[in-house]
Amino acid sequence: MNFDPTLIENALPSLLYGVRTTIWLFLAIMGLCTPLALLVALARVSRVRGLRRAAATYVNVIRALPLLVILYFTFYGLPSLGVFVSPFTAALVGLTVVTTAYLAEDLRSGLMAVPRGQFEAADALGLPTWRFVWRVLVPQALPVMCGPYFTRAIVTVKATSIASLVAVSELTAQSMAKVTETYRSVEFLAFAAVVYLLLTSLMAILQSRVQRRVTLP
Amino acid sequence: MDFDLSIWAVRGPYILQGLWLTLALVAGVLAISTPLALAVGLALEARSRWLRAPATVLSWMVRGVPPLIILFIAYYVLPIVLDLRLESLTAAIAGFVVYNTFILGEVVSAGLRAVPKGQHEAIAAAGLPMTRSLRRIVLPQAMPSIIPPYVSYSMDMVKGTALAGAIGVTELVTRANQAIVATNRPFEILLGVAIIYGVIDAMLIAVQMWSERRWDHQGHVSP
Repeated sequence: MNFDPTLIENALPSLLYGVRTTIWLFLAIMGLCTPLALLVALARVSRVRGLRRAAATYVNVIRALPLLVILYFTFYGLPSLGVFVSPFTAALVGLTVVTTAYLAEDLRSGLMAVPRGQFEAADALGLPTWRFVWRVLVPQALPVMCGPYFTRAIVTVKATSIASLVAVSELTAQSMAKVTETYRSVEFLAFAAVVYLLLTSLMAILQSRVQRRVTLP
Repeated sequence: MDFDLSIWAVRGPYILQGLWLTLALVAGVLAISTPLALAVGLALEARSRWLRAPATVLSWMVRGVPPLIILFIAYYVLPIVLDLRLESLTAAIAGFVVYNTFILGEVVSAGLRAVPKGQHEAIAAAGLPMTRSLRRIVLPQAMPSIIPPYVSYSMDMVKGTALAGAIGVTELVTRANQAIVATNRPFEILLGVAIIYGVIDAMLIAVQMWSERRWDHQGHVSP
């Protein structure tokens, strides 16, 4: 087996295009699903039973399905409903729907870690719900949520590779296109693996930094 | 849009054949990677640095890369390295085994860490042989914290096998995809597939509840 780095050098523009797409996809997913997942998590601990049920159903149904099935839903299903979107958008919608469900469960464990007495105290003071959520609940849940949040982010970086199977030209797709073009697999798969490893390791470093900052005294 | 489930009468048998491949893949991968994960978990917690360091580095590498990339490496690179032909099913099993071994290895290692330190000290003080103390003392106590994540990662594994289609294993989702392309009926076909995965998911949850009860009886050590 020989390794020819010049192959990577020659293909660098299109590979870097893939890296950029992967990073954009990842940032868009996390940007969309962070507030959405918080809302779903809040719905799951809500006092309104209908809200609780709806959120639980959404989370459990989505988590029982393979990501690829959901991406096929958005990739084939949306156009057949008359909604024509680019593969990138279809993948973004699918990945956001899935990541929101998983992240909501992660965040819920943080919300549950806030002592019961805080809820009762807010009730006793007549604090408006949203004020309670922003000023009392979320700040106290944050240190507990932080670890699972970054773990989910790392899983999401890796999950973006599946978008390659629904025609999104991200890192995996661009690398595989070069494999088919050049009949050389080692170089391009090594490139993709190293970039993913860099991205996930970067997230892990960020995680330990942030976690150190938000730890309660 | 009209919704017509009768499409399953025509395409169903072909799609369902993929279910057997999916289940065989899951069974094969779990059977091979479970003992390997135990070894990795022990290596991650080993006292010897020569075991711990390579296990830690390998685990970081494997868990930092998407499973899809590992599958592609197993399919395209492994035959070059080993200088042999690999069927896509074999390559898929190899790729998933590598990924799963380290994912589950971390689960085992976390379970071992949950065993109180005093137990290890007591084993050392009593001079018990290592394999027996592992089997009789450490693992039974680690089991309750290993089983829930083990089952939940197994569910991920079941769903993850859908990726094997990318290297030519015609499992359930791949066949469903072929049927969608042929019939342009994504909703009917994906709904059926979703129900199948829902049933598998429910069965695994039942297994988890059963094994948690079982290990709670036998593995629980009163303080």
